[in-house]
Amino acid sequence: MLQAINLTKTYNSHTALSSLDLNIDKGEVFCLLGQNGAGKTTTINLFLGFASPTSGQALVNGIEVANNAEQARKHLAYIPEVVMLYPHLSSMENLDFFSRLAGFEYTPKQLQDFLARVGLQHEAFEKRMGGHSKGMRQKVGIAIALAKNADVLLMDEPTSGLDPKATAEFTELVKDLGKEGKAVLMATHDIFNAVELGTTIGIMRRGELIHQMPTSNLMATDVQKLYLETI
Amino acid sequence: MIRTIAKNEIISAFRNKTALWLAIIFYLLAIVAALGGWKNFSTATQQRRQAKEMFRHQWVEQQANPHSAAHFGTYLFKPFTFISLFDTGLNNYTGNTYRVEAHNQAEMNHAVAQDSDTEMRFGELTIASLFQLFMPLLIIFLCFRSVSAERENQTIKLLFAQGLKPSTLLCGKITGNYLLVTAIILPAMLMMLIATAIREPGMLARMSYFNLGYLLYFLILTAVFVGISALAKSSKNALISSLGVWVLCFVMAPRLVAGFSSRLYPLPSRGEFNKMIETANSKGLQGDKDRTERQKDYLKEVLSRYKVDSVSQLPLNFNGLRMQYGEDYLSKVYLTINGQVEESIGKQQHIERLFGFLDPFIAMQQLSRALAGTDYNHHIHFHKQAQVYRDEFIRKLNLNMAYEDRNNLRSDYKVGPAFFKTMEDFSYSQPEANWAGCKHQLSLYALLFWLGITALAIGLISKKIAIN
Repeated sequence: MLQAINLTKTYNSHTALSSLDLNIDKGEVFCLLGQNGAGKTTTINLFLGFASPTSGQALVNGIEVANNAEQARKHLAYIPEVVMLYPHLSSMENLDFFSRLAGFEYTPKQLQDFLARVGLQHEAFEKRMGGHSKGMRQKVGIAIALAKNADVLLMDEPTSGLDPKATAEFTELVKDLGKEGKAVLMATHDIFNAVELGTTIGIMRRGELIHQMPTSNLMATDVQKLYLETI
Repeated sequence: MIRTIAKNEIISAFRNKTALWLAIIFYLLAIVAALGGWKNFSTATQQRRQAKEMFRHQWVEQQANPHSAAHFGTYLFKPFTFISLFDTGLNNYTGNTYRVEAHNQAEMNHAVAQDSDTEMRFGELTIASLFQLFMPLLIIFLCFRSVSAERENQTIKLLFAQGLKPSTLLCGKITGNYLLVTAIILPAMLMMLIATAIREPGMLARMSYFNLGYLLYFLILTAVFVGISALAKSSKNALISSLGVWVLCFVMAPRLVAGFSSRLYPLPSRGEFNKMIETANSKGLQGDKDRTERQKDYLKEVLSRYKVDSVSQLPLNFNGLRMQYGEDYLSKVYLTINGQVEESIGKQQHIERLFGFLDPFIAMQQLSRALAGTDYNHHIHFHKQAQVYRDEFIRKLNLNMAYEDRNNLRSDYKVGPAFFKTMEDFSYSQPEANWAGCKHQLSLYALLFWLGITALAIGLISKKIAIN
């Protein structure tokens, strides 16, 4: 569903991503670990078509993003590190607005269900985003991604700013999405969370994917040790 | 999707109260402009009606020698149309009264600006100046953050990730902001239409075109300022760039263009113009003899026509004929020299209309004045009718003296109301809206050109929208 073939991105003389080969299938939750500047966000931006590759290809459901970003985005949902929504709209209105842009018109009840699923408190549904905490905004962002019902989810440090309870809820949610057959690529710094919800872990360093391993028989402490050795 | 984006833009403007404050400021200014315009209109209309009635009364009631009456003359008043209160255009500068007098082809006098120090310094606040100058500012304040803020707040990433096309984003932003602009402006336009329908139903077509022209102008400006917002790196840059465009296109360019066109086609001063008329009248136009020779020739021709040897043998008062001959020649001189001046003004106007292709403000200003009947073409239209009336007026007096005062009694010959009442009062008929439109086709084409160019530019900008 999500494929990178020799994907490279350079900015002037700086190589942000070097010859990345990646394949994320249906039901797979791929967690990318790495320090700041390791190339995690660049990878996500290349799949979103927000940046053009210097060489190589980024494919979403077989569609090359560089040539047809708009078509590829139809298959993607995106949760940024900091979800910025419209402060003049309520949670419901933001969800409705972004869903409509994705081509979905939900009833108020359906919108409420999405917000409830991500654990947003009921009283925050009709409140304007201007008064929301970062965690609440993040939850609405996740609801927007869910409502798009895309095959592929790209998440750039989505648990950043979430409290432990919300992070745990989010972890369960992503696991469920994997079970539903979604392909998930998540950039994160949270090793324990990555091991908990990921089916595969990748460790990046200076634009290169150094390690890639399934999480089935891994302990978080093993990954942490490998991560520290790698970076 | 355009609808969704537009709706969000409208909700944002209303909930942030931006639209509300801008609408309040606009309507406060509009009320001041309308009240001021109405006061000027009603005062001027009343003054002109009273003056017209007074001069007409004086005219028909006099007992005078026709030539003395021709010197006494009268005044013609350019009528104030109701629609002209919305755009006073050149009316305040071109003069509003026309002096009818023997031996003198008058220019228009008594410009409003002559009597008003404030207007000389600041110009008048009219609905047109609000539409032309304030509305662009209002549109700037509505639009400058429209796309740049999406980038600054990083909502643009989520918008595009949801599958929104950049061109759809821009179209949605333009639609939303344009609907806001029309929501603010439409009640005012509707009131203007209703007031025109009540006051001057004949001007309804002009008023409708006037409003449609401005709606087109606002659409162009909305697209331009949304485009600037899309190109700018930040909202601050978008605001500075938009205000820069406003100063350049709306404040500086019209003055520079007017200065450029008048340098390219200079006009004589009033004194020089009068001297040119006097010289040509006295020395004769190219190929013509001087005044003394012309009059000698004319005398010969009249004597020969009546087969007599001297003026005293003529069965009429030759002075009357001679004066009319002089008037006819003066008319010829005036038409020739004034024609040259009008040609230069026409060229200046043409240059200004061409600049409408570079600056939509100039195009709209020209079109607005034309539809309000306050442009130079309408001034000329009135002036020509006044001139024809004046020539016929003087002719009737001179010929009365020539054929009725056969005893050459001169000042002892007098006529009274019975004669003066036969001289019809001046009645000016303003041309149709189509006439005004035809005269300003170039300005209309310039606005349509701008609509096409902005549509094209928006298409190009949508391909260049930066995410970060």
